[in-house]
Amino acid sequence: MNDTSPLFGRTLRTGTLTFTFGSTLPHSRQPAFGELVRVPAGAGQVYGVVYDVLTQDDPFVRQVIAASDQLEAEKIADMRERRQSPVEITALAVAYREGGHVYQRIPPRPPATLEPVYGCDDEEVREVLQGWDSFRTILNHAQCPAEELLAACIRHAARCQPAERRRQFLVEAGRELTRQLSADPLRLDAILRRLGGDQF
Amino acid sequence: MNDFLDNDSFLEDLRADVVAADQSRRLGVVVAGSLSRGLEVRLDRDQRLEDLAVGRYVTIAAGDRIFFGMITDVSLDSTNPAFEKTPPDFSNEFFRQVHMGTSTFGRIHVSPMLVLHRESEADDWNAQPVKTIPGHYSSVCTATAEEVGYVFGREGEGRDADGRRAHYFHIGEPLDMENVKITLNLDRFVERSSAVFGKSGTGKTFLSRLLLAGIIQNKVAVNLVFDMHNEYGWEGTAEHAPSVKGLKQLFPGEVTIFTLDDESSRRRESRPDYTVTISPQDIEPEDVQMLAGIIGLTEPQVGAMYALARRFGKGWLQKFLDDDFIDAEWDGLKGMAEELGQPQQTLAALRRRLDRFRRYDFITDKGEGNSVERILEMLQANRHVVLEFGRYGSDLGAYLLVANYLTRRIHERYVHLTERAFGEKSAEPTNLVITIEEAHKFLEPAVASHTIFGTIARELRKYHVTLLIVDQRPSGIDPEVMSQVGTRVTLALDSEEDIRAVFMGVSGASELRQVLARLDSREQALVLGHAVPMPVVVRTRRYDQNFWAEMGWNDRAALPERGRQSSAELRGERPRRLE
Ligand SMILES: Nc1ncnc2c1ncn2[C@@H]1O[C@H](COP(=O)(O)OP(=O)(O)O)[C@@H](O)[C@H]1O
Ligand SMILES: [Mg+2]
Repeated sequence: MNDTSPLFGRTLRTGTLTFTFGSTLPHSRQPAFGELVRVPAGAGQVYGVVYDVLTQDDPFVRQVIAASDQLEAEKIADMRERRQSPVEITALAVAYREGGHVYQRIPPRPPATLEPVYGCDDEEVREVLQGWDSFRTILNHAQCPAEELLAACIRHAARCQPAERRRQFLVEAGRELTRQLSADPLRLDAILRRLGGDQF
Repeated sequence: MNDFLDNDSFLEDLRADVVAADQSRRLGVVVAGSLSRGLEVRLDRDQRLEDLAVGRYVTIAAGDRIFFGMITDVSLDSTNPAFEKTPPDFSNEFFRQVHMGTSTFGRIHVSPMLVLHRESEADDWNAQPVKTIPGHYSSVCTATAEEVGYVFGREGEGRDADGRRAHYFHIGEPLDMENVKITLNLDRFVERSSAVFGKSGTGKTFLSRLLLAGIIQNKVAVNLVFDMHNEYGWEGTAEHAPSVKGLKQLFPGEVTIFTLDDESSRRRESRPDYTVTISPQDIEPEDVQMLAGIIGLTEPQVGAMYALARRFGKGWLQKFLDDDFIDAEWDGLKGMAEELGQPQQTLAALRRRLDRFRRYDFITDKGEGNSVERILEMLQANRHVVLEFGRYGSDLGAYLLVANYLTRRIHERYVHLTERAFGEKSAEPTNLVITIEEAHKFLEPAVASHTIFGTIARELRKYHVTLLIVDQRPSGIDPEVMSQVGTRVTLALDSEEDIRAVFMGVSGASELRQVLARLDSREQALVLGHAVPMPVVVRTRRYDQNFWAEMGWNDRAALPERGRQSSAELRGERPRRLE
């Protein structure tokens, strides 16, 4: 957790389970599906996993599309950059920090509106996602594609491990899933398939 | 941790290992079980079932106790039956790594055998019977060599758990441990009747000879061996070598060879010290009765035998088989039958049956004197006696007759000596161990109740005589006798019946049965009972050059010299006579 972390945007809407923030960053610098983000909430910090990125249309975009068949590349780039409404990014709250401790639970209070939302560096990701308690929070969330999200989140966490530990990290995560999902082999299989392989 | 610091350092290590979760010996954790059925242990992920084997020892530290157990079964399990019905994609290495040992895993069944416990730090650890089991998730580790050594007793002289003097004799190694000697408490081995079982060719004779060598070397008893196949005294035969040393070669000064067939013994250069003969005058109906099954005597014929003995007293047999005598006295068998009140056919049939005794050259008056007395003299002088049967070994009738004849009289003397000692230990005779091969012939239910061997087995060590039963068919032995057999050393057995018989009256038998059923067909034995603290599977110690050397046999050249010397000594010296 440090102040040099990239600022992704500010909260638009928040709730106990999820929070949505608006981002005006260019497409390439927006947080990815499954990535961990941090937002202050009172004296602590709330951590969320990004699961939905929504780019709304706006009157200007509609006009342009309606008016001309042929769009110059320059114009498209310009319009993407200077949008009238921000991209809406929603994250699932999986953990919070309070008094120096990280708890992998639903935060007691959601962040307020207009709080800054930051990205996390590798060390922070390792700290927040160690132990596997957030697996259940993700799997239990009905509004997101939980299997895809969990797989993406684990891959993200693996990428934040030192290179030589990455594979072992995936195997250990897989084993923990196997333990938690022994009653649902099909679901387990779906997630493991999205984890497997050496490309993550 | 600290309250375990004491001098038994390996036990401390063990505890420390478990407490500090030293993973190197850890196999898994206890997940279920009961005292009567044993413990279920879930294997840790990295344990390969392929590396485990039934019969291996494990220790489980729980609270202030250390449980000692044996693996008695190995199985596969999974957290969800679906993993068995639709296995994950194991062609994918990642899947394999994730699933193996997690959703699918191995488990072992452990029979707790005994528990090491002590009252306080100041006390010694002692081994006690298991009365409870370790709790859930106790760690299960492979036992170390030291632990096994501690439980079985270090080779050599020592004290047993009750503080009694004990001679621990190395009988083999655990199946999967290097350099660990499993020992047997010889004093307890001879204290009650013991047995070596196993189908033919498994190593019964080799192991029995090894045990006898242990008894001789440690002087825990004096032996009388009925050496049916001439394998114990002098050079025995072996499948793997031209010949093996007999007991007399190992202990020339302490073993005396008697023979029933002088010619055969000499041909084999076994240099027998005495030739055993039985005077026909001395044979009693009781000596013959136990052959009933073998030579086909009917009830009436046995009855007639007793009638003859009553009528003629000593020498009844001789007279009965003597045609001239019968003709002279009664004018033929008819007259004799009338006087005895026995049917003539019964007598005629009995004569035909008993006629075979004429072919036994050892039944003669022209012997070197009273053989029973000779044997007793030797035993009393703490000389071990091996009786070679020579060619009679292949005649079951002769073997049973002689063994029964001699044993009845020797036992009688031991009863007498014991009673005369009036309970004064020093005056009582040295324990006598009588080794019989083909033991079921002496101990089958039909005869065990009224033969001397059944009596000896049943009366325990009251008169200082016990049996070493060597047999390939334990199911043929009277269950009542079987239940009195203190130590059972069992090599591989094929038949279910025989396996069941071996476990007569043993608790936890169903699990041990699994172990026994999986012994190699040679040189592996399950030892259980009086002389070992817990059932144990061993690769039997080899009866070979090394063993002979350890028993004091030096080299080929020196041997004949020593043998001659001792024979001369033996003949020159008249051992102290009895009474
Ligand atoms: N302890 C042993 N040391 C050396 N060889 C052995 C041992 N036990 C068995 N053998 C081998 O196995 C063969 C059969 O053993 P043996 O004792 O004659 O079997 P059994 O009496 O059960 O028929 C022997 O000839 C020998 O080659
Ligand atoms: Mg044999």
